Order: sequence, then structure tokens, then C-alpha cells
Amino acid sequence: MKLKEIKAIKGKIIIKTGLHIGSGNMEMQIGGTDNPVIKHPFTQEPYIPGSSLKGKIRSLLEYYYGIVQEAAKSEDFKNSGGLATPKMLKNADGEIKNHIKNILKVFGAGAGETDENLIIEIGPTRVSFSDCRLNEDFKKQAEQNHWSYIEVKSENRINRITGTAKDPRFIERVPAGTVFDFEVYFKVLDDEDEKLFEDYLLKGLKLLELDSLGGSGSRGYGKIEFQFDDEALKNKFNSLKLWG
Amino acid sequence: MLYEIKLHILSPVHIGCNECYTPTEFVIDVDKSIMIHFDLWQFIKTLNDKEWKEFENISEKDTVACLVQLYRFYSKVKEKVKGRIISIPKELAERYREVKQLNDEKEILKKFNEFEIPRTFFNPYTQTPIIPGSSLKGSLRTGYLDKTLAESPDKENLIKNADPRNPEQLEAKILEGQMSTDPFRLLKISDLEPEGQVKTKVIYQINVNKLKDNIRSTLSIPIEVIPEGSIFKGTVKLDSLIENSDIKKPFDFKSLLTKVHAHYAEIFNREVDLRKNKGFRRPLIEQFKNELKIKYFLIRIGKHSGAEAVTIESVRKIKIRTAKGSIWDKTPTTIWLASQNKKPANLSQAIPFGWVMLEVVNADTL
Repeated sequence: MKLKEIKAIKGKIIIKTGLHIGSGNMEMQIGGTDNPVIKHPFTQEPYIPGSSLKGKIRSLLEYYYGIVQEAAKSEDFKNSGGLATPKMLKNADGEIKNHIKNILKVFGAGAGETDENLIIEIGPTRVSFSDCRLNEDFKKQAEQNHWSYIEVKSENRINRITGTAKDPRFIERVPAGTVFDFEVYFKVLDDEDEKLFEDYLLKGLKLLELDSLGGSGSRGYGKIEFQFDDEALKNKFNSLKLWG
Repeated sequence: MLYEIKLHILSPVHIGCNECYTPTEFVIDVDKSIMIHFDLWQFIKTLNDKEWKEFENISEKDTVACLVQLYRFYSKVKEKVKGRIISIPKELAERYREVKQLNDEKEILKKFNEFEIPRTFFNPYTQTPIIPGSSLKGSLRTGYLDKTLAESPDKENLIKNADPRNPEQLEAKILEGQMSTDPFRLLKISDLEPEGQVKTKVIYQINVNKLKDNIRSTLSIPIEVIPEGSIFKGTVKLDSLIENSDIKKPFDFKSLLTKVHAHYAEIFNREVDLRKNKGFRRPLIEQFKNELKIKYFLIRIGKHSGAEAVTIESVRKIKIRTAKGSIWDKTPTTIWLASQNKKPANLSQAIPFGWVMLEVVNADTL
């Protein structure tokens, strides 16, 4: 196993519907919302943490390759949280075992893993997601137009017996139309890794476009689009088929 | 499974966002009955020295009268104001003319409130309206709950034990799940954006008694709406159910939409009956008729959908205020209509709020 290449994917993430990646409320601010989005502590500009992208893509791939479905068959794994884990790898067989191993190769097995044979077999985590900052051209456009990088969405719940509204809440979102830069690096350690790049990383990005990023994806939030700087990669991504 | 959907707006829709048009950001052209909503910063750049001085003087005043002076100033330089044009009722434009003549502070404050126009949900960058996925999902959920309860073998028991203070419990029983086991967690609806250009407009929301002939003119307030004829597009993703999942009552998109349509069609038909007495306009659905329940499904969204649309028929308890206090009833006694006039002589131009036709673009996959 030797580092043959580090592939870089660079481009933009276009927010298609309001994005909410929550930050938790560290302190009470007068006039602040209950549900702020994550912001850089110095600039107060929203950003997309690499961990949010990585976690969501990993989870979607686990569904896509049938690992979640497999885990659901066993009570032990059903409630265990992370699915493509070294523990599940030991218990799985056939095609599923292969997918779990590949996900561990691409996304990592966790720092707590102590099985030396497994660590050697899997090798270093191939993918590395950077935090995504606001795109500079978009920032210029936003400054010229005096745009805020945050919108506040008010929501409530309807009591379906009395018809009255309840549980009013205010949720911060990064508005549709915001542009972030993104960078993902992928280490190629042996010839098979070329296949992992396409089948796990690129397909993962494609699955994310069809799903959503951040919170409340089931009710409208977090649709995104990737735009790649590299023309060849863009064509490859567009022609990727997930099903059929 | 991924579905492309469109919403055809059949009658005015307002999705609340807790924001109003502020008096510093619009000017009304009385002759054209339009409101021009502009960016204050861009506007300031267009002022010459003399105009800037005048604007500065008005801004520094701390009396109520300066609001009127601001309106007068905006009107004077209205040729310079460039922005988004929103059509408004003639009557509201006339009211603006009157406000500009006012001198009495109390009167100014009173009249100014009329220009607190609630905005429909919008994208802050483009200022264009958006229909949030949450609004649509809530409407689909209500329709589904209503018809699922109606078909439930345990119907009598569920109705008997429905507690208005704990509606979530009833929903959980109907859906046989809650939070992580709620089947609606498999349904992912995107926010919907306009197809082509959608021009919002301002109308009056008028409250009409279903039984009596009067219109409660005190409750005629202007509001921004997405007008009929507009189209919005988005996507729906229905995740497939995993074997051995704890979600006990999954649904497919077609059966969901069929129930939803049945719920809203009943309310629609009741409004058609009411229309015979009150004479208001009916949303036109004729162009969708041939593929109704196949490709097109009737729903209702947003403000003034009416208590019947947002509740489950068999357990509905609507609070109705009377002269002697309040009572609980099955049906509301009034209906909200969208009107060009604050107090119309008849209702022939008025129309109920919120009717929408949901189109599944790839209906062959249903």
C-alpha cells in the first residue's frame, strides 16, 4: 500500500432550498432565534462543516448498498447507531461484507478501532472533506445587494382537532441561492481505490443531490447542487447512473 | 422513489412568514394601483444632493408626522424608484393618497396600520415567493389522517378517545407510530420555487358569515398573495421502507394523494354549495378534470384554508365566539375570501383562499 495520488474535487455547492445545519445555542441572545445555523466564530458567516457532508454521504451510501437493510434484520445492529462498522464487518458476508469494507476504507473505521489486522487491511481513511466557506464572488454579490446570509423561517404545528396553531418556532436557514466553495480530497493507495472513488465518493455526492443536507430535509430544507470546476469530472458525474 | 411535482395555484395563496412590507421600502403609484417595493440602499444612491438633504431631514425627525412626510417625499421622487411591482386594490391606493394629506398624529397612526401588509413567504435574495415544503407536507398529512381515520376498523374508539389538548396522541394512533416510527418521515418534500415569473399581488381578506348576508368589514385587511394561475415546482422523495422497520403503516404516494384528494374535494364541494347562496367565485378546475386523481390531486394550503381543511372531520371541535362567550362546533360560521374591494357590494369577484392542484409530472410512475 503506497500513496499513488491524491485526487482533488473542487467546485461549488449551490443551495437550492433553505439550509439548516444547526449549531446549538451556546448563549441566549436578545432577538436571537431558538434554532441558529452554524456560523464561523470570527466572521459570523454560515458555513457547511465537512463533517455534515461526510456523515450524510456515508449514511446515504449505507442505505444505497443495503447495509442498513441488513442491519435491520438483527436487533443488535438495529439499535447500534453507526452501521458500516468493524463489528458488522465481522458478522457480515458476501457482497454486503465487501460494501462495508469499502465504506470503512473510504470513510474510516473510527479512531477507537484496535484490531491491528483490520487497521492494516483497511488502511488510512481515503476521503477528506473540507469545511465549505461562502464563495467569494457570491459574497461580493451579497455585499453589493445588502443581502443577509440568514433567513428566519417561522413555523408552527396545527392542532388537527381544533384547527388552531401551536408550538410556534423560528428557525434560521441559509437562503436558497447561496453559493459555497467545496473541496474534497481522496487518497489513492492502490489500484482498486480508483473504483472506490467512483462507486463510493462520486455516487455518494450524487445521492446527496437527490436527498437533502442538514436538518428538516423531509419538509423542504437542504436541497443542494454540486458544480465541479473540472469539466471531465463534471461529465463523469452527470453520466453516473445510480439505478438501472 | 423521486417524483417531480407542480402546484397549480387555483385561488390566492398566502404562506405566512412573520414579515410585513415596511413603509420605508415601498411607494404606491396611486394612478396605476401598484406598489413598488424597492431596496432602500439602491434608492439612496439615486438621490441628488437636494433630495438627499430632504430625505436626511425627514429621517432625523422623531414625530409620527415624519411618516407622512416620507410618503410625500417618496411620491415626489417616484420616477427614480426602481423595484418589484406588486398590484394592489384601487381602494388601498386611494387610502394611500388620503394618508399623504393627513396632519393629525392619532389619525396618521390609525391609517398607517392599513399599510402593514403581511408578506407571503419569499426568498430574501430574489424577493420571489416560495412555497415551503413544510406547508405542503402539513396539508398532505391532514388529508391523509382524515381519510385514514375514516377507514379505520377502530374508528369509533379513536373518535371517542380523541383529546383536543393532545392531538399528537390521536395522530400517533391513526398512523400507528410517532417520531421515528411515523410513516411521514419517509416522505421528503422540497420547498417549491416558481416556474417562470410569478407576480404577487395585494388583495383584501374579507370575513363573510356563511348564514347571514352581511360582510364583517371591520375584518377587511390587505395581504400579499400568490395569484391564481401561478405554477410552482419541486420534488417529492418517498424513501422505501426497510424490512423489519418499526414503521408499521407505510403508504405509497398514489394512495397518499388519493386520500388527500378525497379530503379536500369534500370541502371544495361544500364551498361550491355555499357559493350558490353567497355568490362568490369558484376556483376553476375544468382543465384538470380528465386526469383528476390520476395526475392531478386537489389540495389546500396556506392562510385561510379554513378550519375544516386543517382538521380531521370526525373529531373536529371548532371554537366559535358568540356574544355570550364561546362554544364548540363542527363547522365554522364564517369564511374568509380574497377580494379586490374592502367592502364589496356583492361577492361576485371574491374567491376562497388556498386552493391548489398538485400535479405529479411523472404520474406514470405512481
